[in-house]
Amino acid sequence: MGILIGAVLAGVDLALSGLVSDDARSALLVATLVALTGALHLDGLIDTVDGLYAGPDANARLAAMRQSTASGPGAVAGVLAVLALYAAFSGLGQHERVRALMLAPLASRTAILLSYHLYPYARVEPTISRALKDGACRPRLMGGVASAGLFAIAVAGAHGLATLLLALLLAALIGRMILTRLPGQTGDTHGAIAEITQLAVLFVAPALLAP
Amino acid sequence: MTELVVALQFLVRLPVPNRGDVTIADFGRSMRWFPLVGAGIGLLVGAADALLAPVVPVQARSVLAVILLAAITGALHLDGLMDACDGLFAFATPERRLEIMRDSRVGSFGIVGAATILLLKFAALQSLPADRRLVAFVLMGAISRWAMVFATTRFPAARPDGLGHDFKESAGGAELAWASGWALAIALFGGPSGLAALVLAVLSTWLAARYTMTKIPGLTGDVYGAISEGTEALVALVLTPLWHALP
Repeated sequence: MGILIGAVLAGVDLALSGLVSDDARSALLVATLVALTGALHLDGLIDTVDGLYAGPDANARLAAMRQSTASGPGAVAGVLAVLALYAAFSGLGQHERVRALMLAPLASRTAILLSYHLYPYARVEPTISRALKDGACRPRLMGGVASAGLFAIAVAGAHGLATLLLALLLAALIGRMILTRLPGQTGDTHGAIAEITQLAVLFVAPALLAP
Repeated sequence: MTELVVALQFLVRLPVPNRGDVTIADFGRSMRWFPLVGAGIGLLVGAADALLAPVVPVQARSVLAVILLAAITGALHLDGLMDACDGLFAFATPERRLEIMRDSRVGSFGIVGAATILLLKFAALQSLPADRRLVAFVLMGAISRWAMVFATTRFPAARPDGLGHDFKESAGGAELAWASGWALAIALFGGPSGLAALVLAVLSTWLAARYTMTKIPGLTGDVYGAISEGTEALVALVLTPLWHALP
């Protein structure tokens, strides 16, 4: 899935190059990414920040995350995430651009797979996300990470693999931080993890992926 | 004359003399002036931009223009965009979507939608050719307000009440014809590219309206606002490459 999103991003980027200015191209990439994923992971990030800043105990925080309306901190996080994506796309140079666009969605979706496997789940009621958690057994995790690793190598060689591993490490760290405030992960926190690792990959791409 | 004043009062948060005897019918009829008022808004923003040009760099002027556009309209259309995003992109039934759109609180989709459209406008404005910024602002204002008239008069309403419906009720073919005449005349200021931008706006508005109708049974005032915001960003984005390709 991640590699598909990456391929579409790279395609849009290529189609727009020369047609519009670099600024407009970066902004249109943000819009494409948001439209492709239906803002699913950004929604997760906003709800997670809503939750982390709410309530005295874990139950209040989980309830705040479930609420469909956003709080001030959540709104700020959403706006900042969109701005950060724009800055990240603007910062990509000619050399690493295509590789970074392919790699970032791939790494962030693999990160979700890892965090589903590593961490307990906070809710017991049947949801889509809960079903994903129950499906994330060890063989599937191994298969997913291995195929992501192969894609990463195909796209950007050893540097691609290193970027993927860094993204997974970051995802594991964020997952731990979330566990200090919540009893487990939810679909929202996995979205937040995906959004942050995606940004991180885009931020370090000029340093890690340039030849 | 009453209708022009009504259009101004609705679209602009500036002191406009009040004329007490306004009826619902004036709301719809005021739509024939929408592109002209939009052009006026663009002229105002463009003039501010030109005044600041000698002292303020283009990135900062582009942000200021985005802010000014939101402030002049009282963020009316942005508010519509946010409500429309929350409703249309929610996982819900059509009835529930309409309830969410009416809810004045904001959800994740609204935040992301507004942030993205503001970003698109900023990036597009920053890339405009320096000698044609004023024309671009005028075209953005006129074509985006025309798109609302098109959406209002040519597609069904989702609700039997509300502000959007007040306009829908009393606007028809005559309003669309007037507004289209204004839009066409103003678009030609931008040359063939202005005309091309108008054609693209027709297409995108039609697509947006059709998409909305797969989610809810018709359009609402929030959707009109979203269409205005989307068209404004679209015109800003396409003018630079169009001017590059056409005379």
